[in-house]
Amino acid sequence: MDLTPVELLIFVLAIAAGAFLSRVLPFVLFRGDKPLPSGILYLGGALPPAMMALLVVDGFKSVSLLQYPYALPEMLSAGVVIALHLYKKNALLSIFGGTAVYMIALRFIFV
Amino acid sequence: MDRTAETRTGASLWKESFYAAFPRTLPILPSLIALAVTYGVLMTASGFGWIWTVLMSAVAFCGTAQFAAIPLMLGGFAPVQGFILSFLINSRHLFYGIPLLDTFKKAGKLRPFMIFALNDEAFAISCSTEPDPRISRVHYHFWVTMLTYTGWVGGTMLGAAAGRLITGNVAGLDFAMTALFIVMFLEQIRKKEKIKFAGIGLCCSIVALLIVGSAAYMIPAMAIMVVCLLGGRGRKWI
Repeated sequence: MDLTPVELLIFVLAIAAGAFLSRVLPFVLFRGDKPLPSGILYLGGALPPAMMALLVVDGFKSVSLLQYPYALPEMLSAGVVIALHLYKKNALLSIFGGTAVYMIALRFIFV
Repeated sequence: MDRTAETRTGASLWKESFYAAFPRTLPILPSLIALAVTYGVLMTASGFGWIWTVLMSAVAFCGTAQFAAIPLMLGGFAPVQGFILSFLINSRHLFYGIPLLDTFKKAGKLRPFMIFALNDEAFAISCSTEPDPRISRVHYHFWVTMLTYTGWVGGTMLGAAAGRLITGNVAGLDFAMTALFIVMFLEQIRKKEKIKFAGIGLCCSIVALLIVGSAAYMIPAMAIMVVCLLGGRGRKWI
């Protein structure tokens, strides 16, 4: 956590560079009538759902199934997020609803 | 005389395209700003100063990847990992450039900013609506982009300011990030053909996590993900 300001700046610029590359690549690669390589286009469609799966897994990486509370607060809250989103399809409601349940669960249910 | 006429045309070009772009962009601004506020709160609650929080939104301007970078930045100095993570999460942008190539060709001085700040909302609004033919498409797209950019950076500032006021026990607030990713995941798999990709991503991530451990599994996970996705290209196995 204790990054120096220079390290933080490099970090921020690295995130920005990754985002910028994804934006500028079509304009650099697409010259004249040569179409964008089909492999790149394929990955552009396939990676976002796959990356989202990685980010979900990342959210649970430090949760232990073997120790109390056996990932129950996380499972409960994730269930709330999914249920809210399937019924209401309102992203903000799903996010805040699930987070509220999680914070309450940590304080009052699984103490 | 000529010069005055030219200036007036230039000014009305900006003005008219703004009046066309604003009502189209307005409906998506509340949720965009709310998400930016959430980002500002989470960053400051994670211990990052408001300057860094706002700087990130201003130079990276990429919602999901910014959220994903928070745990990474808390884990230590890993800019290469951050770069790869950000590029792969943002890879959907690769699609956006193509339909916009023509519009952007005429954008001149505005082009660098329009490429730098290309985003989901601007793409969707710009490609799904046909503004009045008398209005410049370039300026129309510029204003949509500028409004979303301002909303995102402004919302981040608000959130960062609010985050400094929160001094109580915020344990569990970071679940908002996981919740956001679950929502994005659900949104992704609404298209049937994407379920296969999501499944590959899920398996690769879990396998990498179990083998490498939580400290350094992300790059291996992304690497085997790309290999598996390319290997499974065109195959119907699910």
